Amino acid sequence: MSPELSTTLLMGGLLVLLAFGLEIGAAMGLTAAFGLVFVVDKPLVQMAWTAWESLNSFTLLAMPLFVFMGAVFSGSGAVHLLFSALDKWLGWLPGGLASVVVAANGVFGAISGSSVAAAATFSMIAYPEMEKRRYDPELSLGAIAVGGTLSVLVPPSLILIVYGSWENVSVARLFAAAMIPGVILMLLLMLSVIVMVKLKPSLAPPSASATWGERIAAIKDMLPWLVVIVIVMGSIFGGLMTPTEASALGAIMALGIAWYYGRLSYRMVREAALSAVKVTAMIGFIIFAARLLSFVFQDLGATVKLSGLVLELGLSKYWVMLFIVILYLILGMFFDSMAMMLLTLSFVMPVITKLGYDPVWWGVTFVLLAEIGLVTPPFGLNLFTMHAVLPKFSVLYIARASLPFLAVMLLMIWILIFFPEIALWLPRRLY
Amino acid sequence: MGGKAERLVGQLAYAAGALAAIFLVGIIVLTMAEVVSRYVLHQPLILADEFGGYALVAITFLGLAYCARDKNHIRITFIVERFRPRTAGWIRLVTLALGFAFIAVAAWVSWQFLADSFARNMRSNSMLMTPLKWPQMALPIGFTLFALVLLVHLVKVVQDLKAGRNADEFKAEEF
Repeated sequence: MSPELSTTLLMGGLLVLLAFGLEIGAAMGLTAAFGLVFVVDKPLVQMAWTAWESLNSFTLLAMPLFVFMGAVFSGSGAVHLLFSALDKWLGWLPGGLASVVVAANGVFGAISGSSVAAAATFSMIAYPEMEKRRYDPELSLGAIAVGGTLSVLVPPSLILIVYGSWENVSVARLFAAAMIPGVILMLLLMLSVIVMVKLKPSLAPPSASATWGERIAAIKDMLPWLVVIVIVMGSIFGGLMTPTEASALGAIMALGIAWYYGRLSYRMVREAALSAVKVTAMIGFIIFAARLLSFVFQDLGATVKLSGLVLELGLSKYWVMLFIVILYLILGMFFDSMAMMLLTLSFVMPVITKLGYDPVWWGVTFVLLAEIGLVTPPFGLNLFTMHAVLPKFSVLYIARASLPFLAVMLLMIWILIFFPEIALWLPRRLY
Repeated sequence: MGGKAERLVGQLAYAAGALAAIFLVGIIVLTMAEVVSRYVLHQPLILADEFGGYALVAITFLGLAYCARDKNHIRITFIVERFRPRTAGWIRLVTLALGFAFIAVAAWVSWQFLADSFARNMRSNSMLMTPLKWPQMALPIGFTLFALVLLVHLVKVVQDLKAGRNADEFKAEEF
């Protein structure tokens, strides 16, 4: 069998398995094991080697630690306080609480690296408040669903950790590169809330302004966040600690803050650790399976061939990028972001680098693309999460509510493609 | 398989998950100790980098079964949901059997891998020269428990199909 045919057959088999609902990691692993035995003729013990080598990584350890840190922070009650404190400062904006949700997500994103966690947290904290003040559910849900995507973009970011360790790109540089685009996206989303409410005032009640006294008093609720973010990110960007070390420090500080708010208990720490274990096992399983699959495809020469084929077309780098963006928008409707990245990376990466795109820049751009996939049906994890917390709204309703904000995210991707310096300037300054 | 076996497998999966959680907390402490020792005592421990990798292996593989027990492994369900529940049940039977087969093979080769590591007494090529058999144990144990959990799910689907029930297994699971 020719390598082309084998690759196509393996890919086809994988898609069938995925479509029929086999666990994503198992589907990828099974396809890889099949390829190992029948196509590239390697011993099955390669599976154990790959399992060992793909996860024996100090860099990747940052993933469970940041998940743990985010879970402890969420359990400490600090998110609730942050939300009301930001309301005092930003509530006067048109569509007040929707902007507050976006800003709070930006701050929460600097603690947590997972969009799903953000969507769940803010559905629980922000939505009831917005309902009480008679915000249109479309505005509230859209802001929560899309605001959640800031969590992954603003460092720390689980996708960037996995991407960095997979491609041997410094995670610290990736974090630095995501910083400015994260802030710009946050501002753009807030701006779009304001524009939407100006165009359709029925979306939100008239906003109320807090007094300066209230604002000053609110600062103390924002302080724990500021302290942790400045210390954790500062020690990474200042080169004092690796992202993994900083995540351990962040986890300890999160425990300290939970103690400060009187929420530290054995039960809370246990739940946070167990939830981090679950997320890690789920993602780690996919990482292992994806490594095995890419081992097979690389052995077949499939990845090099495909990238050669794309480059032979002689299209300009912008046309190829447009094609890749569209491809990911479609894939994102059906895949979760981590699986989508791991499945495609070995094919897409050679094209990206040969066209002269910076891998650091691509990491950040990819996060944005993946984030759009989190709010596009039929498979969008943020939609599912919010539906689980607020069952009265259907997945499709939440998706429709997010639609106007998606335009903003596409605009952000466009900006990044034509002004890559937005991402690359900070890491260049720092390192 | 009765409810007893199911409960036992569930408890084992939880125990492995709990052990993974302990490793998680332990590695946080060790990593912090490393940082403190580097900046305060000016004497790096050179432990965290190596043990951190082992900890991640342990957390991931010991967590597999626990994650599977609570049906948190992500999968695409919006297509199978369109089928009639019975058809969906049969499809789930096939996919679970395939998943079980894959994990069982992974468990089998990981035991061989571990046996080999024991036989050759493999060590890390760091200064510590850690015998790799200890951290590598997480692989076969994790995969074996994972396979057992999938087997329990599989038996349940068979029982449900026989009894003509529409089990939870056929519905969407959301992470």
